[in-house]
Amino acid sequence: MKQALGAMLLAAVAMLGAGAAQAQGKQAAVVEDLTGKVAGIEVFDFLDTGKTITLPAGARLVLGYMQSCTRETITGAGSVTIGEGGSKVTGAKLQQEQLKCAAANQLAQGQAGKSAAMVFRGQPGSGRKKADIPQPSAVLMYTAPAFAVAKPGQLTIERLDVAETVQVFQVSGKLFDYGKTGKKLDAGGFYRVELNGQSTVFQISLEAGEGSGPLLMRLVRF
Amino acid sequence: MTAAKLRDLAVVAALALAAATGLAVGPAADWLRGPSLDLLMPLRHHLFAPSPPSPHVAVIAIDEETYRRPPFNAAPQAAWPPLLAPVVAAVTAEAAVLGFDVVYSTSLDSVQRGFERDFLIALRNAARTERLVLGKVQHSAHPILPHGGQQIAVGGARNIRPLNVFEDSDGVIRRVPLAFAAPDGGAEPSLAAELAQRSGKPVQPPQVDGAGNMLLNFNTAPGAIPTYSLADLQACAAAERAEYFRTHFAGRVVIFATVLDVEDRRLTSRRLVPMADGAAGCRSIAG
Repeated sequence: MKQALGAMLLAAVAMLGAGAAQAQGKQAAVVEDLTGKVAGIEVFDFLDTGKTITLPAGARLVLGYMQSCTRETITGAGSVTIGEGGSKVTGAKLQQEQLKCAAANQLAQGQAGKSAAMVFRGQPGSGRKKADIPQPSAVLMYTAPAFAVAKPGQLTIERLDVAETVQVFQVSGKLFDYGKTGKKLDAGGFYRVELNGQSTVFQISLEAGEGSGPLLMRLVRF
Repeated sequence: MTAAKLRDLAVVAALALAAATGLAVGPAADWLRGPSLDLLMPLRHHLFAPSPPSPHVAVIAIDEETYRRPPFNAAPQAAWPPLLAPVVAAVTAEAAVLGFDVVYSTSLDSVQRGFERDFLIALRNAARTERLVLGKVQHSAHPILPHGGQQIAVGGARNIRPLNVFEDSDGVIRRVPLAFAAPDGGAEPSLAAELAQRSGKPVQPPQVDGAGNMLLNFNTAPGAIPTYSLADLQACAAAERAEYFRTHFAGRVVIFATVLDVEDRRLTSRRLVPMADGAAGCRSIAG
């Protein structure tokens, strides 16, 4: 009992801590370089929006802003307040340099399917490799599909590219409109739908509109 | 030979010619082009003497041994960057350039302040001497980029290059793009092309197809590309064995990549030649 209580207290503290961190702001800038003694920061600290730094005489601070790719060199005594895309500086001298942000490329046919890379960003195995996903029979232009129903039965929707709970519905009539459940699927997601032993794979377009739209642009047939 | 036999031979020859012509110029030609290229690899491997190992390239491998050995076995991959810091510093002190064929798109710095500080400093120092290129990949509308802190550390887009490759319709990778269309309308070199440019070696302009893709060739000799286990190099760097890194990486193009039993396996023309993956390290080579 004491152990359970301790765990709950720890969880509560963690949640409070997370809430406090959110209230302070989000990580916006990185300390690329630092000369002189500046209280509270070190090289390659990540700084939240709203944080204020006091620079003593002779100090030199280089900040890199992650969203705007702006590099700021701030020298001399003054104060620096972190913004979303740049600093508010009083007293010290500010120099700005615009770096080129890494961005998306326009891929030709055949270039989008594979890369010779490994991406590390979380727990492996939480989704299926794209190469293992069957070719979708339809790409829908809205996030709320409608399914043609031949006879009543249990309809299941399974996400293929990301591990998610399988959705199950009892359907009847000639059409099951998923949008009427109040839910929506994710743009870009691959799904398998199954009804009465028949199944098909479909994808929601990355450019899909929200919710329901013209039936022909979101209809899935088995 | 009788007239009837001559006529039969002529018919067979005509049929053979028609079949060969059909295969060479018909729709089947496209289908056969890939497998015919693939077959050249085992033919050359078995008929000719192996080429010597490359003196210009080396691979640092995240291999199965790395996953098994402390300190790597105690943490998930996303928590490895601090362990990479001394390796990046030691290699880039000697190599012509180090390219990342892996992407760390998240950071644990938000959980623990300064967790990746040494790694980011190593990236920054290497990028300032033009000796480091990070990779990015793009399979849909949004690219997978290195974490924002890493992007800043390497000075932005000039040191981040795409890792996408070209996949033929049969799912085999036989070509690598040398450049991609950039959002500003220009051309952005692929990571492979960028590393070749920075190698400091004279590079002959490779032959490319109409889309700018270079055909892949492989040195199929065993050990053709020296490969070193990350676990070994991390131990080596921790022991400050700078002479080992000088001996094995000086002036080379070094690629930091995965060489695993399951993940990151791709089909290429190389698949028809038996190969044994194996990584050496400073313990096994230098004793």
